[in-house]
Amino acid sequence: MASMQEKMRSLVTANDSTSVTHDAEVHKDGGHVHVHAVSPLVLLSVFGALLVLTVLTVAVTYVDLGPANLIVALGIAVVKAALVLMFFMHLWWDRPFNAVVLVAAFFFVALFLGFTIMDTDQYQINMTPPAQMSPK
Amino acid sequence: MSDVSLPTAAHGHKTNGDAHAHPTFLAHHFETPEQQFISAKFGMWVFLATELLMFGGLFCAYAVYRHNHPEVFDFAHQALDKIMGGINTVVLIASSLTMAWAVRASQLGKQKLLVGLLAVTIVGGYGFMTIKAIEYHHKYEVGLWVGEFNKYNKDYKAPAGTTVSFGMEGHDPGHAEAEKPTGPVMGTVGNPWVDPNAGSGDEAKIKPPFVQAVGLASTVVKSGPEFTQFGDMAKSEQERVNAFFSIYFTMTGLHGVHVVVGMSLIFWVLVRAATPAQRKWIWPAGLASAGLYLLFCGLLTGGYMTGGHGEHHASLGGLPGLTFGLGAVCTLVGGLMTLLGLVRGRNLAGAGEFGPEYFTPVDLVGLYWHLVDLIWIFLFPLLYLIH
Repeated sequence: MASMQEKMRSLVTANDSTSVTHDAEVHKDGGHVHVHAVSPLVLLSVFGALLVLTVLTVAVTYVDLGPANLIVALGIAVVKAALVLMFFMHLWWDRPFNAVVLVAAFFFVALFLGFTIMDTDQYQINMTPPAQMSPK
Repeated sequence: MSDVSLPTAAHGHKTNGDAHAHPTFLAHHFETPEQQFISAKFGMWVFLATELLMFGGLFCAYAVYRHNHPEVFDFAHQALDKIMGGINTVVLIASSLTMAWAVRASQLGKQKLLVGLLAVTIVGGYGFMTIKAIEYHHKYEVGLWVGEFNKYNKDYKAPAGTTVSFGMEGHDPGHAEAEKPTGPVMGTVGNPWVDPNAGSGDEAKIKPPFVQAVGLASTVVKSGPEFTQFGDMAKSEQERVNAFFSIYFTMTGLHGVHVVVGMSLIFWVLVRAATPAQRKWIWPAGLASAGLYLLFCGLLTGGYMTGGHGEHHASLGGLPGLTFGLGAVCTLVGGLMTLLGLVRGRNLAGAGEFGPEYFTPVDLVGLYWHLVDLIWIFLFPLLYLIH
Protein backbone atom coordinates (compact mmCIF):
# COMPACT_ATOMS: atom_id res chain seq x y z
CA MET A 1 0.00 0.00 0.00
CA ALA A 2 2.64 2.43 1.05
CA SER A 3 4.76 1.72 -1.97
CA MET A 4 1.73 2.13 -4.25
CA GLN A 5 1.03 5.52 -2.67
CA GLU A 6 4.65 6.49 -3.06
CA LYS A 7 4.60 5.44 -6.70
CA MET A 8 1.47 7.53 -7.29
CA ARG A 9 2.96 10.50 -5.57
CA SER A 10 6.22 10.26 -7.43
CA LEU A 11 4.27 10.22 -10.68
CA VAL A 12 2.60 13.48 -9.74
CA THR A 13 5.61 15.28 -8.38
CA ALA A 14 8.01 14.14 -11.07
CA ASN A 15 5.99 15.86 -13.77
CA ASP A 16 4.97 18.81 -11.65
CA SER A 17 7.89 21.15 -12.10
CA THR A 18 6.26 23.87 -10.09
CA SER A 19 6.09 21.95 -6.87
CA VAL A 20 7.94 23.56 -4.06
CA THR A 21 9.19 20.27 -2.81
CA HIS A 22 10.96 19.62 -6.08
CA ASP A 23 12.61 22.99 -6.31
CA ALA A 24 13.25 23.22 -2.66
CA GLU A 25 15.60 20.35 -3.15
CA VAL A 26 17.25 22.07 -6.09
CA HIS A 27 17.80 25.21 -4.05
CA LYS A 28 20.07 24.02 -1.36
CA ASP A 29 18.73 26.46 1.19
CA GLY A 30 15.11 25.51 0.55
CA GLY A 31 14.21 28.68 -1.37
CA HIS A 32 13.81 30.79 1.75
CA VAL A 33 13.90 34.52 1.50
CA HIS A 34 17.30 35.81 2.52
CA VAL A 35 16.64 38.29 5.25
CA HIS A 36 18.93 41.24 5.70
CA ALA A 37 17.68 43.36 8.55
CA VAL A 38 19.23 46.82 8.69
CA SER A 39 20.92 47.46 12.02
CA PRO A 40 19.47 50.12 14.32
CA LEU A 41 22.85 51.87 14.34
CA VAL A 42 22.71 52.39 10.59
CA LEU A 43 19.08 53.54 10.74
CA LEU A 44 19.76 56.06 13.48
CA SER A 45 22.98 57.33 11.89
CA VAL A 46 21.23 57.95 8.59
CA PHE A 47 18.39 59.68 10.44
CA GLY A 48 20.89 61.91 12.22
CA ALA A 49 22.63 62.75 8.98
CA LEU A 50 19.29 63.61 7.35
CA LEU A 51 18.42 65.97 10.21
CA VAL A 52 21.79 67.69 9.98
CA LEU A 53 21.38 68.11 6.23
CA THR A 54 17.89 69.53 6.70
CA VAL A 55 19.20 72.13 9.12
CA LEU A 56 22.02 72.87 6.69
CA THR A 57 19.64 73.30 3.80
CA VAL A 58 17.63 75.91 5.72
CA ALA A 59 20.74 77.60 7.12
CA VAL A 60 22.33 78.04 3.74
CA THR A 61 19.39 80.16 2.60
CA TYR A 62 20.69 82.99 4.76
CA VAL A 63 23.86 83.15 2.69
CA ASP A 64 23.60 84.48 -0.82
CA LEU A 65 25.79 82.66 -3.32
CA GLY A 66 24.19 84.00 -6.44
CA PRO A 67 23.57 81.37 -9.11
CA ALA A 68 25.15 78.72 -6.91
CA ASN A 69 22.14 78.96 -4.57
CA LEU A 70 20.10 76.56 -6.64
CA ILE A 71 23.01 74.19 -7.17
CA VAL A 72 23.79 74.03 -3.46
CA ALA A 73 20.13 73.50 -2.56
CA LEU A 74 19.74 70.73 -5.10
CA GLY A 75 23.08 69.23 -4.15
CA ILE A 76 22.08 68.89 -0.52
CA ALA A 77 18.72 67.45 -1.60
CA VAL A 78 20.51 64.88 -3.77
CA VAL A 79 22.70 63.81 -0.84
CA LYS A 80 19.61 63.42 1.38
CA ALA A 81 17.85 61.49 -1.36
CA ALA A 82 20.87 59.21 -1.78
CA LEU A 83 20.86 58.44 1.95
CA VAL A 84 17.15 57.60 1.93
CA LEU A 85 17.53 55.47 -1.21
CA MET A 86 20.62 53.59 -0.15
CA PHE A 87 19.79 52.85 3.45
CA PHE A 88 16.11 53.34 4.21
CA MET A 89 15.09 51.85 0.88
CA HIS A 90 17.73 49.15 1.21
CA LEU A 91 19.43 49.64 -2.16
CA TRP A 92 22.89 49.40 -0.61
CA TRP A 93 22.34 45.71 0.08
CA ASP A 94 19.85 44.94 -2.64
CA ARG A 95 20.20 43.31 -5.99
CA PRO A 96 21.87 45.85 -8.30
CA PHE A 97 19.10 45.53 -10.86
CA ASN A 98 16.66 47.37 -8.63
CA ALA A 99 19.11 50.28 -8.59
CA VAL A 100 19.29 50.08 -12.37
CA VAL A 101 15.53 50.64 -12.51
CA LEU A 102 15.89 53.72 -10.30
CA VAL A 103 18.79 55.15 -12.26
CA ALA A 104 16.83 54.62 -15.46
CA ALA A 105 13.94 56.62 -14.00
CA PHE A 106 16.26 59.49 -13.06
CA PHE A 107 17.83 59.33 -16.50
CA PHE A 108 14.45 59.71 -18.18
CA VAL A 109 13.47 62.59 -15.89
CA ALA A 110 16.77 64.26 -16.75
CA LEU A 111 16.06 63.77 -20.45
CA PHE A 112 12.57 65.19 -19.95
CA LEU A 113 13.75 68.30 -18.15
CA GLY A 114 16.89 68.70 -20.22
CA PHE A 115 15.21 68.76 -23.58
CA THR A 116 12.35 70.93 -22.36
CA ILE A 117 14.66 73.57 -20.90
CA MET A 118 16.80 73.45 -24.01
CA ASP A 119 13.71 74.07 -26.10
CA THR A 120 12.58 76.88 -23.81
CA ASP A 121 15.93 78.55 -24.15
CA GLN A 122 15.42 78.82 -27.87
CA TYR A 123 12.24 80.79 -27.29
CA GLN A 124 13.59 83.35 -24.83
CA ILE A 125 13.51 86.03 -27.47
CA ASN A 126 9.76 85.51 -27.72
CA MET A 127 9.19 85.75 -23.97
CA THR A 128 9.43 89.49 -23.57
CA PRO A 129 6.27 91.33 -24.63
CA PRO A 130 6.89 93.67 -27.55
CA ALA A 131 5.95 96.76 -25.56
CA GLN A 132 8.84 96.22 -23.19
CA MET A 133 11.29 95.50 -25.95
CA SER A 134 10.90 98.64 -27.96
CA PRO A 135 13.63 101.16 -27.14
CA LYS A 136 12.36 104.32 -25.48
CA MET B 1 8.40 13.72 0.15
CA SER B 2 6.94 16.76 1.86
CA ASP B 3 9.36 19.54 2.50
CA VAL B 4 9.93 20.20 6.16
CA SER B 5 12.29 23.13 5.88
CA LEU B 6 9.62 25.57 4.71
CA PRO B 7 6.87 26.03 7.26
CA THR B 8 3.38 25.71 5.99
CA ALA B 9 0.87 27.99 7.61
CA ALA B 10 -0.68 26.76 10.81
CA HIS B 11 -4.10 26.58 9.23
CA GLY B 12 -2.96 24.01 6.71
CA HIS B 13 -2.03 24.09 3.07
CA LYS B 14 -4.05 24.49 -0.09
CA THR B 15 -4.72 21.26 -1.87
CA ASN B 16 -6.39 22.25 -5.15
CA GLY B 17 -5.48 18.83 -6.42
CA ASP B 18 -1.77 19.39 -5.82
CA ALA B 19 0.17 16.80 -3.93
CA HIS B 20 2.70 19.16 -2.43
CA ALA B 21 2.64 21.38 0.62
CA HIS B 22 3.67 25.01 0.37
CA PRO B 23 3.32 28.12 2.40
CA THR B 24 -0.01 29.85 1.93
CA PHE B 25 1.65 33.12 1.03
CA LEU B 26 3.39 31.54 -1.95
CA ALA B 27 1.52 32.08 -5.19
CA HIS B 28 1.44 29.15 -7.55
CA HIS B 29 3.23 30.82 -10.39
CA PHE B 30 6.36 31.17 -8.27
CA GLU B 31 8.74 28.33 -7.55
CA THR B 32 10.06 29.53 -4.21
CA PRO B 33 9.30 32.29 -1.72
CA GLU B 34 12.61 33.88 -2.57
CA GLN B 35 11.70 34.15 -6.23
CA GLN B 36 8.36 35.66 -5.23
CA PHE B 37 10.01 38.20 -2.99
CA ILE B 38 12.58 39.23 -5.60
CA SER B 39 9.86 39.62 -8.24
CA ALA B 40 7.66 41.63 -5.89
CA LYS B 41 10.46 43.99 -4.98
CA PHE B 42 11.45 44.48 -8.60
CA GLY B 43 7.84 45.18 -9.53
CA MET B 44 7.62 47.76 -6.77
CA TRP B 45 10.74 49.53 -8.02
CA VAL B 46 9.25 49.69 -11.51
CA PHE B 47 6.12 51.26 -10.01
CA LEU B 48 8.28 53.75 -8.07
CA ALA B 49 9.98 54.65 -11.33
CA THR B 50 6.59 55.51 -12.81
CA GLU B 51 5.81 57.67 -9.76
CA LEU B 52 9.10 59.50 -10.24
CA LEU B 53 8.21 60.17 -13.84
CA MET B 54 4.77 61.47 -12.81
CA PHE B 55 6.26 63.95 -10.38
CA GLY B 56 8.95 64.58 -12.97
CA GLY B 57 6.29 66.14 -15.13
CA LEU B 58 5.41 68.60 -12.40
CA PHE B 59 9.06 69.30 -11.69
CA CYS B 60 9.45 70.03 -15.38
CA ALA B 61 6.62 72.55 -15.25
CA TYR B 62 8.34 74.12 -12.24
CA ALA B 63 11.70 74.19 -14.00
CA VAL B 64 10.38 75.78 -17.17
CA TYR B 65 8.31 78.38 -15.37
CA ARG B 66 11.06 79.33 -12.96
CA HIS B 67 13.54 79.49 -15.79
CA ASN B 68 11.32 81.87 -17.70
CA HIS B 69 10.04 83.96 -14.80
CA PRO B 70 12.64 83.95 -12.02
CA GLU B 71 11.35 87.17 -10.51
CA VAL B 72 7.89 85.72 -10.04
CA PHE B 73 9.37 82.91 -8.00
CA ASP B 74 11.64 85.19 -6.04
CA PHE B 75 8.66 87.34 -5.13
CA ALA B 76 5.89 84.85 -4.57
CA HIS B 77 7.80 82.30 -2.51
CA GLN B 78 7.77 84.76 0.38
CA ALA B 79 4.20 83.65 0.96
CA LEU B 80 5.40 80.24 2.06
CA ASP B 81 6.33 79.59 5.65
CA LYS B 82 9.84 78.10 5.85
CA ILE B 83 9.46 76.96 9.42
CA MET B 84 6.28 75.03 8.75
CA GLY B 85 7.92 73.46 5.72
CA GLY B 86 10.99 72.60 7.74
CA ILE B 87 8.94 70.98 10.50
CA ASN B 88 7.11 68.97 7.85
CA THR B 89 10.43 67.80 6.44
CA VAL B 90 11.60 66.63 9.87
CA VAL B 91 8.26 64.90 10.52
CA LEU B 92 8.47 63.02 7.24
CA ILE B 93 12.09 62.01 7.78
CA ALA B 94 11.23 60.74 11.28
CA SER B 95 8.31 58.74 9.90
CA SER B 96 10.68 57.28 7.29
CA LEU B 97 12.91 56.15 10.14
CA THR B 98 10.04 54.46 11.96
CA MET B 99 8.90 52.83 8.71
CA ALA B 100 12.39 51.46 7.95
CA TRP B 101 12.57 50.22 11.52
CA ALA B 102 9.15 48.59 11.12
CA VAL B 103 10.46 46.67 8.10
CA ARG B 104 13.37 45.52 10.22
CA ALA B 105 10.97 44.46 13.00
CA SER B 106 8.90 42.43 10.54
CA GLN B 107 12.03 40.73 9.24
CA LEU B 108 13.02 39.71 12.75
CA GLY B 109 9.54 38.58 13.74
CA LYS B 110 9.19 41.26 16.42
CA GLN B 111 5.44 41.53 16.11
CA LYS B 112 4.65 44.02 18.86
CA LEU B 113 7.43 46.37 17.78
CA LEU B 114 6.19 46.14 14.19
CA VAL B 115 2.64 47.12 15.09
CA GLY B 116 3.87 49.96 17.32
CA LEU B 117 6.19 51.38 14.68
CA LEU B 118 3.56 51.19 11.94
CA ALA B 119 1.17 53.09 14.21
CA VAL B 120 3.81 55.76 14.89
CA THR B 121 4.43 56.11 11.15
CA ILE B 122 0.71 56.73 10.57
CA VAL B 123 0.79 59.36 13.31
CA GLY B 124 3.69 60.99 11.46
CA GLY B 125 1.55 61.09 8.34
CA TYR B 126 -1.24 62.73 10.32
CA GLY B 127 1.26 65.27 11.63
CA PHE B 128 2.36 66.15 8.13
CA MET B 129 -1.22 66.59 6.91
CA THR B 130 -2.09 68.72 9.95
CA ILE B 131 0.67 71.19 9.21
CA LYS B 132 -0.30 71.16 5.54
CA ALA B 133 -3.88 71.90 6.49
CA ILE B 134 -2.79 74.85 8.62
CA GLU B 135 -0.66 76.18 5.77
CA TYR B 136 -3.41 75.73 3.19
CA HIS B 137 -6.02 77.26 5.43
CA HIS B 138 -3.85 80.27 5.99
CA LYS B 139 -3.48 80.69 2.25
CA TYR B 140 -7.23 80.55 1.96
CA GLU B 141 -7.61 83.19 4.63
CA VAL B 142 -5.29 85.70 3.01
CA GLY B 143 -6.58 85.32 -0.52
CA LEU B 144 -3.80 83.17 -1.89
CA TRP B 145 -5.97 80.20 -2.67
CA VAL B 146 -6.33 78.41 -6.00
CA GLY B 147 -7.46 79.76 -9.32
CA GLU B 148 -9.72 82.78 -9.19
CA PHE B 149 -9.60 82.87 -5.40
CA ASN B 150 -6.00 83.95 -5.59
CA LYS B 151 -5.70 87.70 -5.45
CA TYR B 152 -3.06 87.72 -8.16
CA ASN B 153 -5.51 86.16 -10.56
CA LYS B 154 -7.15 88.71 -12.81
CA ASP B 155 -10.60 87.26 -12.04
CA TYR B 156 -10.21 87.72 -8.31
CA LYS B 157 -13.13 89.37 -6.56
CA ALA B 158 -12.16 91.01 -3.32
CA PRO B 159 -14.68 90.56 -0.51
CA ALA B 160 -16.77 93.61 0.31
CA GLY B 161 -15.11 96.13 2.56
CA THR B 162 -11.56 95.04 1.98
CA THR B 163 -8.78 96.53 -0.06
CA VAL B 164 -6.49 94.24 -1.93
CA SER B 165 -2.85 95.09 -1.61
CA PHE B 166 -0.10 93.53 -3.67
CA GLY B 167 2.44 96.21 -3.41
CA MET B 168 5.36 97.19 -1.30
CA GLU B 169 4.34 99.76 1.26
CA GLY B 170 0.74 98.71 1.34
CA HIS B 171 0.00 100.72 -1.74
CA ASP B 172 -1.95 99.03 -4.44
CA PRO B 173 -2.02 101.13 -7.59
CA GLY B 174 -5.23 99.46 -8.79
CA HIS B 175 -7.38 100.46 -5.83
CA ALA B 176 -8.16 103.48 -3.75
CA GLU B 177 -5.47 104.09 -1.23
CA ALA B 178 -6.27 103.16 2.35
CA GLU B 179 -4.68 104.68 5.41
CA LYS B 180 -4.40 101.30 7.00
CA PRO B 181 -4.75 98.33 4.71
CA THR B 182 -7.44 95.94 5.80
CA GLY B 183 -6.06 93.08 3.73
CA PRO B 184 -2.67 91.42 3.87
CA VAL B 185 0.21 93.70 3.09
CA MET B 186 3.30 92.61 1.28
CA GLY B 187 6.79 93.67 1.88
CA THR B 188 6.59 95.02 5.39
CA VAL B 189 8.99 93.80 8.02
CA GLY B 190 7.80 91.00 10.27
CA ASN B 191 6.32 88.82 7.56
CA PRO B 192 2.83 90.15 7.12
CA TRP B 193 1.93 87.03 5.21
CA VAL B 194 1.69 85.38 8.55
CA ASP B 195 -0.34 87.85 10.52
CA PRO B 196 -1.80 90.95 8.97
CA ASN B 197 -2.73 92.25 12.39
CA ALA B 198 0.80 92.12 13.71
CA GLY B 199 1.60 95.26 15.62
CA SER B 200 -1.94 96.56 15.48
CA GLY B 201 -3.82 97.55 18.58
CA ASP B 202 -6.40 94.87 17.98
CA GLU B 203 -3.86 92.08 17.89
CA ALA B 204 -4.33 90.87 21.44
CA LYS B 205 -8.08 90.73 21.03
CA ILE B 206 -7.99 88.88 17.76
CA LYS B 207 -5.39 86.23 18.46
CA PRO B 208 -6.32 83.66 21.06
CA PRO B 209 -3.31 83.21 23.32
CA PHE B 210 -3.03 79.45 22.99
CA VAL B 211 -2.49 79.16 19.28
CA GLN B 212 0.35 80.92 17.58
CA ALA B 213 1.15 78.18 15.11
CA VAL B 214 1.73 80.24 12.05
CA GLY B 215 3.44 83.08 13.83
CA LEU B 216 6.69 81.20 14.22
CA ALA B 217 8.00 82.44 10.94
CA SER B 218 7.60 86.09 11.77
CA THR B 219 10.93 86.17 13.53
CA VAL B 220 12.80 84.26 10.91
CA VAL B 221 11.60 85.00 7.41
CA LYS B 222 13.03 88.22 6.13
CA SER B 223 10.88 90.17 3.82
CA GLY B 224 12.91 93.03 2.55
CA PRO B 225 15.15 94.45 -0.11
CA GLU B 226 16.92 91.19 -0.86
CA PHE B 227 13.70 89.71 -2.20
CA THR B 228 11.93 90.97 -5.25
CA GLN B 229 9.09 93.30 -4.39
CA PHE B 230 5.87 93.51 -6.29
CA GLY B 231 6.59 96.94 -7.69
CA ASP B 232 9.98 95.86 -8.99
CA MET B 233 8.50 93.49 -11.46
CA ALA B 234 7.46 94.36 -14.96
CA LYS B 235 3.72 94.33 -15.56
CA SER B 236 3.92 91.14 -17.55
CA GLU B 237 5.59 89.46 -14.59
CA GLN B 238 3.10 90.89 -12.11
CA GLU B 239 0.33 89.31 -14.09
CA ARG B 240 1.97 85.92 -13.82
CA VAL B 241 2.37 85.68 -10.07
CA ASN B 242 -0.65 83.44 -9.68
CA ALA B 243 1.13 80.78 -11.74
CA PHE B 244 3.52 80.26 -8.85
CA PHE B 245 0.61 79.40 -6.62
CA SER B 246 -0.85 77.06 -9.22
CA ILE B 247 2.43 75.21 -9.33
CA TYR B 248 2.72 75.25 -5.54
CA PHE B 249 -0.76 73.84 -4.92
CA THR B 250 -0.54 71.23 -7.67
CA MET B 251 2.81 69.89 -6.49
CA THR B 252 2.13 69.92 -2.77
CA GLY B 253 -1.46 68.81 -3.32
CA LEU B 254 -0.48 65.77 -5.36
CA HIS B 255 2.20 65.03 -2.79
CA GLY B 256 -0.41 65.32 -0.03
CA VAL B 257 -2.62 62.84 -1.86
CA HIS B 258 0.33 60.44 -1.91
CA VAL B 259 0.81 60.91 1.82
CA VAL B 260 -2.82 59.97 2.46
CA VAL B 261 -2.58 56.96 0.14
CA GLY B 262 0.60 55.93 1.96
CA MET B 263 -1.13 56.26 5.33
CA SER B 264 -3.95 54.03 4.11
CA LEU B 265 -1.51 51.41 2.85
CA ILE B 266 0.39 51.43 6.12
CA PHE B 267 -2.89 51.01 7.95
CA TRP B 268 -3.79 48.01 5.78
CA VAL B 269 -0.45 46.41 6.56
CA LEU B 270 -0.95 47.22 10.25
CA VAL B 271 -4.28 45.40 10.33
CA ARG B 272 -2.67 42.36 8.75
CA ALA B 273 0.27 42.48 11.11
CA ALA B 274 -1.87 42.75 14.22
CA THR B 275 -3.10 39.90 16.37
CA PRO B 276 -6.85 39.87 17.13
CA ALA B 277 -6.14 41.19 20.61
CA GLN B 278 -4.25 44.13 19.14
CA ARG B 279 -6.92 44.74 16.54
CA LYS B 280 -9.34 45.56 19.31
CA TRP B 281 -7.40 48.81 19.70
CA ILE B 282 -7.71 49.84 16.08
CA TRP B 283 -11.29 51.05 16.09
CA PRO B 284 -10.91 53.19 19.22
CA ALA B 285 -7.75 54.68 17.74
CA GLY B 286 -9.61 55.39 14.52
CA LEU B 287 -12.48 56.98 16.42
CA ALA B 288 -10.10 59.11 18.43
CA SER B 289 -8.26 60.31 15.36
CA ALA B 290 -11.50 61.08 13.53
CA GLY B 291 -12.75 62.98 16.56
CA LEU B 292 -9.47 64.87 16.91
CA TYR B 293 -9.61 65.89 13.32
CA LEU B 294 -13.18 67.08 13.52
CA LEU B 295 -12.09 69.24 16.43
CA PHE B 296 -9.15 70.45 14.43
CA CYS B 297 -11.38 71.35 11.48
CA GLY B 298 -13.62 73.28 13.80
CA LEU B 299 -10.68 75.22 15.18
CA LEU B 300 -9.38 75.97 11.72
CA THR B 301 -12.63 77.25 10.32
CA GLY B 302 -13.33 79.13 13.53
CA GLY B 303 -10.18 81.02 12.71
CA TYR B 304 -8.28 80.12 15.82
CA MET B 305 -5.20 78.90 14.06
CA THR B 306 -4.15 81.54 11.62
CA GLY B 307 -4.26 84.81 13.47
CA GLY B 308 -7.93 84.59 14.22
CA HIS B 309 -9.38 87.39 12.21
CA GLY B 310 -11.85 84.87 10.81
CA GLU B 311 -12.40 86.95 7.73
CA HIS B 312 -12.70 84.79 4.68
CA HIS B 313 -11.29 86.36 1.61
CA ALA B 314 -12.73 83.82 -0.72
CA SER B 315 -15.55 81.39 -0.85
CA LEU B 316 -15.55 78.14 -2.71
CA GLY B 317 -18.57 77.84 -4.91
CA GLY B 318 -20.82 79.43 -2.34
CA LEU B 319 -19.91 77.00 0.45
CA PRO B 320 -17.93 78.87 3.07
CA GLY B 321 -15.18 77.37 5.16
CA LEU B 322 -14.34 74.36 3.03
CA THR B 323 -10.63 74.82 3.40
CA PHE B 324 -10.36 72.19 6.04
CA GLY B 325 -10.34 69.71 3.17
CA LEU B 326 -7.14 68.17 4.29
CA GLY B 327 -8.39 67.84 7.83
CA ALA B 328 -11.55 66.30 6.47
CA VAL B 329 -9.58 63.72 4.56
CA CYS B 330 -7.71 62.78 7.70
CA THR B 331 -11.04 62.50 9.47
CA LEU B 332 -12.12 60.12 6.75
CA VAL B 333 -9.00 58.02 7.19
CA GLY B 334 -9.72 57.90 10.91
CA GLY B 335 -13.29 56.96 10.20
CA LEU B 336 -12.17 54.21 7.85
CA MET B 337 -9.87 52.86 10.50
CA THR B 338 -12.78 52.80 12.93
CA LEU B 339 -15.02 51.00 10.50
CA LEU B 340 -12.47 48.44 9.40
CA GLY B 341 -11.36 47.83 12.94
CA LEU B 342 -14.94 47.22 14.04
CA VAL B 343 -16.04 45.15 11.10
CA ARG B 344 -13.06 43.03 10.30
CA GLY B 345 -10.97 43.25 13.42
CA ARG B 346 -12.24 40.12 14.97
CA ASN B 347 -12.69 37.91 11.97
CA LEU B 348 -9.84 38.63 9.63
CA ALA B 349 -7.76 35.57 9.07
CA GLY B 350 -4.02 35.74 8.99
CA ALA B 351 -3.48 37.43 12.31
CA GLY B 352 0.08 38.53 12.83
CA GLU B 353 0.98 37.57 9.28
CA PHE B 354 4.52 38.81 9.05
CA GLY B 355 7.78 37.23 10.05
CA PRO B 356 11.20 36.28 8.69
CA GLU B 357 9.60 34.04 6.07
CA TYR B 358 7.17 36.63 4.76
CA PHE B 359 7.42 40.37 5.21
CA THR B 360 6.99 41.50 1.63
CA PRO B 361 3.94 43.78 2.09
CA VAL B 362 5.68 45.67 4.89
CA ASP B 363 8.78 46.07 2.74
CA LEU B 364 6.91 47.30 -0.34
CA VAL B 365 4.64 49.71 1.55
CA GLY B 366 7.83 50.98 3.20
CA LEU B 367 9.31 51.66 -0.22
CA TYR B 368 6.23 53.69 -1.16
CA TRP B 369 6.43 55.73 2.04
CA HIS B 370 10.12 56.43 1.48
CA LEU B 371 9.33 57.62 -2.02
CA VAL B 372 6.83 60.10 -0.56
CA ASP B 373 9.60 61.33 1.75
CA LEU B 374 12.02 61.50 -1.18
CA ILE B 375 9.71 63.71 -3.21
CA TRP B 376 9.21 66.08 -0.30
CA ILE B 377 13.01 66.29 0.12
CA PHE B 378 13.09 67.90 -3.31
CA LEU B 379 9.86 69.88 -3.02
CA PHE B 380 10.90 71.66 0.16
CA PRO B 381 14.01 73.49 -1.06
CA LEU B 382 12.58 74.15 -4.51
CA LEU B 383 9.37 75.76 -3.26
CA TYR B 384 10.14 77.12 0.20
CA LEU B 385 13.83 77.96 0.13
CA ILE B 386 14.28 80.05 -2.96
CA HIS B 387 16.71 82.92 -2.53
